[in-house]
Amino acid sequence: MVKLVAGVALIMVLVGLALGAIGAALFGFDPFVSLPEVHLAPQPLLEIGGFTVTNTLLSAWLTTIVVVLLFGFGARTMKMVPGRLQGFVEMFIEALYNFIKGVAGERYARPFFPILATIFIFVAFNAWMALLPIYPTVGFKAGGHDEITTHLLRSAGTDINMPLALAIIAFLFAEVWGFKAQGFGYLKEFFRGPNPLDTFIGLIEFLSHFIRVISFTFRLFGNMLAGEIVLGMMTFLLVFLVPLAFYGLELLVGGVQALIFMGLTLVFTVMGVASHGNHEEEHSEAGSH
Amino acid sequence: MRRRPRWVLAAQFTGLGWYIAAAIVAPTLLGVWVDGKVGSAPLFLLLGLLLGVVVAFYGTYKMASGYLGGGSPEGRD
Repeated sequence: MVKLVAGVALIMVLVGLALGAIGAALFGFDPFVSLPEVHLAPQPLLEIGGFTVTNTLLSAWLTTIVVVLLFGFGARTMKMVPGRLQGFVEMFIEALYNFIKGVAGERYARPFFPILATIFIFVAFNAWMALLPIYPTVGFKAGGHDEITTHLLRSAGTDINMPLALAIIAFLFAEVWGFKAQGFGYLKEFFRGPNPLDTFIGLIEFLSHFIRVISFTFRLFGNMLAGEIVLGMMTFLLVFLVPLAFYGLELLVGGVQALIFMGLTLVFTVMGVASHGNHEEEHSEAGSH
Repeated sequence: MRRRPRWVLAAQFTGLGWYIAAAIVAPTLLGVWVDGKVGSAPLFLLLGLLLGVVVAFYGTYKMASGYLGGGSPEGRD
């Protein structure tokens, strides 16, 4: 049985290799899948009163609708013995909550949870939904082209505006909580004293906070765009079976990137709220566990 | 600071590479832009690069020192 499966897989890989771009170049015919077009900017679909709706924006709306429906229906009628959907939603939310509690502690877990969980769920579902076959296959042809020139849907993570918006939200969340917890004492991190060295370190600290926005943005954007290009290229080159492995990889990357985005926002926020008093409290809390 | 789960540590260290890149590239590009406006090339490019390297080193040091030096694991970026 194993030999049969391995044999079929090998045949599929070889056929994929022959039908893909490499085989097409060797045997002199058109490749089974055309070369993917890479667009850095999102493609506009329609204009509503001067507001342009792009394919990435539409994808973000779709993700939002799916997430709201999934979690809304899952939590609509809460039962003591949960059904499958409620069980999944509970497991998901509980895992996220425990993750946040593990870093922020009992005191801050609840107030931090809504924003952080939203970031995780939105980023992860955005990446996962972009792996659905409707994303690369549904679109519009223009100018007598045989191929799709404008895709209806494209992962919102591949549009730099979405990672930037999330990064600004994460940055503001961390800074506002730092200020809320420590008041004006939070600014001591940037204004350390009249000593020139202290002033310089304060400036570097100030810069490092802003650079977080840039690194957050480009990390997510880079990973999502690279994933899209890799999937397109692997499908173009090897057509069958092998691209599946990369789809699996992208499934993992989506989850990992969401976890990194949420995890780093969480860590920065916890660092922002951690004054000396909070340190002591956290130590005693950690000791009691 | 409470001891962070391994997942969070992994996220922090995974994020470090992008942090270093952003810390160096952003001030350098800003320097190039200022040079273009003022016509002082390559003064601000070099100053931006220097500042970027210092910020990247500072961020990396602050994050890694907590884990390598036996101090409290208080990561930065």
